[in-house]
Amino acid sequence: MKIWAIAKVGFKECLRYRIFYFILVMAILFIFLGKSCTPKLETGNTMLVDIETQQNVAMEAGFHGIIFWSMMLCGLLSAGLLTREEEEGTAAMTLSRPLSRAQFLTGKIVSVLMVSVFNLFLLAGVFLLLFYVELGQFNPNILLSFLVMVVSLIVYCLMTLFLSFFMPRMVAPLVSMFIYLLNIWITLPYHFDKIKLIWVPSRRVEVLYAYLPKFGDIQFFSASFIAMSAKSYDIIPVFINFAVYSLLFWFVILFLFNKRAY
Amino acid sequence: MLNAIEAQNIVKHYGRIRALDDLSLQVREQEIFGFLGPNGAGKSTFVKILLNLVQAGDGYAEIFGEPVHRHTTRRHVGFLPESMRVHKFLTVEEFLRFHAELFGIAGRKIKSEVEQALKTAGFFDERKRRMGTLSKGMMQRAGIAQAILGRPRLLLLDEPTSGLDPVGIREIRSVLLDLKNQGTTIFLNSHLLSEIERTCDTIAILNRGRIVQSGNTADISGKNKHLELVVEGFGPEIAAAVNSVSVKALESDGNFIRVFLKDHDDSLKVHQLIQKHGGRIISFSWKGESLEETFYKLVKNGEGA
Repeated sequence: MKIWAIAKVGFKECLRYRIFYFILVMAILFIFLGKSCTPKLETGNTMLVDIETQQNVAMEAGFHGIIFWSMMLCGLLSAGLLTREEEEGTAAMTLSRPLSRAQFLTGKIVSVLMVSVFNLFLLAGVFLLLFYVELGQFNPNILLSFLVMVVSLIVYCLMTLFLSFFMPRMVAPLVSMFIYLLNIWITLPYHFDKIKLIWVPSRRVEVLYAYLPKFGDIQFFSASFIAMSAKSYDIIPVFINFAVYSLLFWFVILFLFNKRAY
Repeated sequence: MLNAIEAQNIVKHYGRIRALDDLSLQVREQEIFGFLGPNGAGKSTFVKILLNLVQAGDGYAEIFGEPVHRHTTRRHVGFLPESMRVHKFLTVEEFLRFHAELFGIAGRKIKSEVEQALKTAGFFDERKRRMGTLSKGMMQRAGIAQAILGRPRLLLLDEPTSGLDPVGIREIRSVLLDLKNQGTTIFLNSHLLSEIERTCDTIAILNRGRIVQSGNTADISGKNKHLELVVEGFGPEIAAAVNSVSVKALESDGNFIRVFLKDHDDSLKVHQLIQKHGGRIISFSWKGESLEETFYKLVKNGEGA
């Protein structure tokens, strides 16, 4: 109940930030961009690539665009999650109540995840609607894709919060975004055989791929639902990687937060 | 009876600055305890240690026998900070509901508890206003309502009358006395010495992280009791006669004299001596050092340190 009380107030607070609406608008623009790449059915016969592939590419572009902006929003909110409370002095009032710092932290993280997931599914709704209008068909797998991405948001939120303890508020989301994009990039040859033909991962890339949080794997795994031709992924190691990182970030954050004076 | 607050040898450093220096104090249950000190004396640091917002470098503190580092200990505590920092977009009612939930008040009781707290703080009619639109005085009332939510056994109040008009101050004083009568212990951090003098049973004066004076309010504010007289025909003869019964030489300014006696009973002797030597007493009263004078002496002149 205490965690939920903090999460509710945090959710309301996050919805008041302009950045939420800015990112929402940017992501919707990306969806429209993805939609504009979708070929009309009647023009398909003359194209080099078949119509179904082109539609999948357009849908995946929209999906990855939405995920990018959702990650961006999640990172920006996570980086300010504690520092904003500290700067505004509201943390001291809340922490003077009979609740543990772990409860406070959980409530704050839940609030950021609620906003990020709300944003993600709002965009998923727009995405589905637009492609339904365009193609006249509804692909329920898209929802599953977005649902899997919630796991990625959790790790991303914890990672950014963790980084915010060591760097300024505006730098932490940039570093998070860099790690996320780097991970997407180094995952490419492991997921796309055609890329592997021209790019054989070096030892350094292999190490990074093995030890960084596997944002790329989870995102390509999610995207495979959209294509309706999901490859068989060995997803268990990815979830183990995420579980280990989540626990690691959580305990370090809690340790550092417990040391803080208000 | 259990002490509401028990602190032993608390030490706290901020870098090289010693904010609290071996501070020990006890606050008895159901009393109003005044905690005085100049800015930077360490008052707020001590309150933060009690709330576990800051950890002491050494020593220990307990609230109703429970260590302050346990979050469950704070279920006994209501806290009003000097300057309330709140989520401005919440209405007063939402703000109190939020704190009621954090306090652990059961869902079905929240509405009635919030209403009760608002009525006690005289703020019920303003419950729909946003926190960001409140004046300093109104914010203080909302803060008091928040602090008394759930009827905590101990109230830690930092300048509770700050920003209030005289009517508001009087009302809050009455609320505090009512709460005390209902069994609440109140720890009052304030610069308003007259308020402390009127409200508190016990006082501790803090200077540079150390308690320089503590005890019963009447004892501290009534220290250095003396007799003040206006005597017609005052002269060296009367002065010599009065000095024979006083503990130190009298102070005089024209007809006004100040006599320092060992006890009250000697005042009759002074009266008789003055009359015997031809003096006529125009006025006669017992005076004690006010809390302000004691505070000033201790803090400014470093007495008791």
